[in-house]
Order: sequence, then structure tokens, then C-alpha cells
Amino acid sequence: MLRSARGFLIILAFFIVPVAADASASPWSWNKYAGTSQWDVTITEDESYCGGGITTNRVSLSINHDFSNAKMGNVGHGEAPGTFISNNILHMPSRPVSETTGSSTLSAYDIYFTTDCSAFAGKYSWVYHGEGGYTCRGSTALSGVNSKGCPGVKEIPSVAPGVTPSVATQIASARKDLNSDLILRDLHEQVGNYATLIDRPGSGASAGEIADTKQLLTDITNDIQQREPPIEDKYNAILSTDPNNFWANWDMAELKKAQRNYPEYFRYTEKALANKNIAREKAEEVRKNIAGGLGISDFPTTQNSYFIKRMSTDADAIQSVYGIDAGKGEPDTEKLRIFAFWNQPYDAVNVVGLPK
Amino acid sequence: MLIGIILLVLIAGCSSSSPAGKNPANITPVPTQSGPCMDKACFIAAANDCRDLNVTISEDTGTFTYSSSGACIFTKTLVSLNASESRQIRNVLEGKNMTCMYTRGKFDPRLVTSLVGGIEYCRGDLKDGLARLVIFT
Repeated sequence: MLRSARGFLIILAFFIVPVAADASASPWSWNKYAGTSQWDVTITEDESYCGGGITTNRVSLSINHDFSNAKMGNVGHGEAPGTFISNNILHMPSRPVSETTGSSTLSAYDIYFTTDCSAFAGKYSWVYHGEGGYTCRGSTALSGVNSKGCPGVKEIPSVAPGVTPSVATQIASARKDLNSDLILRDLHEQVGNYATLIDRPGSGASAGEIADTKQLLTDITNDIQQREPPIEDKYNAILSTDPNNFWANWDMAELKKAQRNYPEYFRYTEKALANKNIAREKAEEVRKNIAGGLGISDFPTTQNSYFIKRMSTDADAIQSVYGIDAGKGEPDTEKLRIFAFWNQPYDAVNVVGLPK
Repeated sequence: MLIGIILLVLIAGCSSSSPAGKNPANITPVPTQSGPCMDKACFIAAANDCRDLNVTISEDTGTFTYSSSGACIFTKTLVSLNASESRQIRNVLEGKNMTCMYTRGKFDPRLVTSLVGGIEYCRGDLKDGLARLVIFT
């Protein structure tokens, strides 16, 4: 577990590294680029359920871009081909890989790139198949940084001194910080679950391991507590001048969900969805992105899929989520609302993109 | 069978004292009960009491395996969907599972009676798949 703690300190250091200033008026689109990009990548592997622990490693990584196609270098499971399903979301399909003994099946996942080319993040799960029918599961999280900015694009200072940045620039800046925080929140939940599992009679964990895990959890908690107030300040600054802004309210909602402040989560979500035109447009974008990511050519509907019909019935019957009366949303925006209920905050935030 | 193995691994992974990684030698078998308790109502009662139990049930949407453990961990696996579902949807969901930790006496029965009710506190590929597909409902 000490190894995990050390690894986590590296993660914390990674998140503290300042990234390049938000750059251009026209956001970069990786799906329109051909060439190679270089990244410093932090790999966090969770083998807690495979007789291991949470470990962290840093590697240099190349990604070869061919417009909508890209091939990512080896992060431990061999080179990986993927397809951009939107400007800056790279979808990696599920695939099998050989291990030293046995094999693993990697889940499909999405890698989200920031529009200033300074960072990306993604996470996939895997199932390991060993000898004698042994099976276990785990996950691998990737966080990449690139100090060189977008290829062939000169870095432009985000805001000249004395000039108020645009709302879009402010949201992009806040989103970048929020993404780092939400990845940390996800790790916090995983370490918290692990701590709960080992800190019980009969778990077999040593007192030292339990203490190390709890200390790790405390360290993460402290880092989150330092990180989040400035993020909220950024969003509140936007909302003070544009209180109905869709993105600021949506992002704040997901931050509150990650904090388990569910009344505020619902409040900010409703404020975001009050922008009905944007919410409708985003719901359609999400449908296209999800369908593209899942390799679904025709949208499943309640007419052509009994499973979707049953999901619809069950979702409509839901009275409470997170212990709170979920009520009913507006017909136009209800699907986006319930989509956000169950998706991880990181995914829910990034699936709506950034304002243009 | 698969979920039994996963449950064993889940528990055994927690008892590991060093990060060995994907090492079957670290796994300590834990007994898994199965018996006459084979319906949802019985399973919900057992899960609420954090008893070791695996139940596989064929439903109108497909076949699910529900598991509960003495550590108050619930696992739901979608074994197979009806053959009428598209290959893409089956690829997203079949064989996937989600795991939910809960407090003894506070098991959410919707995890068994509904496709989406109560999954907000769970983790896993099945939850992620359901969460994405709900946009199409």
C-alpha cells in the first residue's frame, strides 16, 4: 500500500502542474489533424480485486493521428487504435490482449482532450482471465499532459492584462480544473471503497495496510478540499454575470454530485436545463456521441428494442435518486436530465462539450 | 459460476496484504451459498441481511445473476439479453456487471426489481452501459 501512497503523491503532483493557458478563439479539433502528438502520461492501475493494489506509473507516449483515426502508443496493454467520435473525444473500442500468463479483455472507453491540447484523460476497465478459470477485474486510468500546445499553433495568451475574458474562455478554464478534480474524486471513491473493504473483521488486511490506506484517503481528501473552492469561485464568477449559463450550471451540478451534495446537484441541473434550446441540442449530440461510441448505426428506441422500452418504463417510474425526490422534468429535456443521474460526473461534464 | 468467481476474487482482493497483481495464489476461497432461495423476494431479504447468496433469474428482458455477500456487497450481472435485441446492445451489456456497497438493513430492492433504480451508488461496466443507453429511452 505504501507503493500506492507513493504513486498517489505522483498523481497529486501531476494535478498541481500548471497547464498551458487557454489558447485560441477557435478551439482545436484533434479529428482534423494528421501527425504525431507527444504526451507525458500518468497511468493509474487498480488491481485491488486481483490480489494487487493501486499503482501509478508515468510514461512518455506518442499518438499517431490520421484525422478521425488515431493510434495510441503502449500504456501497458499494447498499441491501441481508436476513432474520434467528435472533435476531441477519441473512442477506443473493446479489445482482447495477451498477458504474460492468460489474457485480458479491455472495455471500450473514451479519451477526452482539452481544446487547448494541454491534457487528456480517460479510463477503461478490464477483466483478466488467468489459468484454471481464474478471473478478476480492474481498471486503468490515463491522464496525459502536453506542454507544447496544439501542433502548429502558436500559444496565445488567454487574456490580455486588464481585459475581461469571454465567458467561453472562463468556462474552458474552469472545466480544465474541474476535470482534474473529478478524476481525483473518482480515485477518492475507489480508495474509499477499498478502505471500507479491508477495514472489517476477517478481511485479512494488516493494521499497517489499513492505516496506509486511510492515510492515503486523508491525503486525497485534503487535496480535494484545497482544489475545489477555487473551482467553485471560477464558476460563481461566471454565474454572477450570467446566472442562467448552461455550461456553468451543468458543471456546478456535476461538481455538487461528486461532493454528494444532492440538493444542490438538482438545483444546478434544473437551472442548466432551463436553457431548453441548448439542452435539446445537447441531448441530440449526446445521442449521436453515445451511438457512435457504441458502434450503433441506428438509434435504439422504445419501438425497436424491448430492453430500451423496459428501461424507459423503469426510468419513468423512478421517484427518488440519491435519496431525493427526483420529480419530473420537462418533456424536452427529461432524457438529458436522467442521463446525468447515473453517469459519472466526469463523463456527464465532458459529454456536453464547451461553448463555442 | 462466473459471478461466484468474481465474488471470490472481490473478497480475496481485499485481503491481500501486498500488491502482487493478478496473482491467483493470493486468492482465498470464500464459500458461496446457493439453495432453495431462488426468487427475487427471497434474494432481497438475504441481501438486506448481507448473506452470501447467488441467484440466477430469467426475466422478460434477459437473464441476470444477483449476488450478495457477507461484506454487504451486491453484484448484478447481465448474463444475456433476449435474442431479439440488436448485436450492438448485447455487446454493450451482456456479461457486464456492477457492484454496489451498502449498509446492512438498507439494501435497495430496486437494484433487483428495476433496471435503473438505485444504481446511482454502484460502479461497473453494467452501470456505465445502462447510464449511456438511458439517453435513448
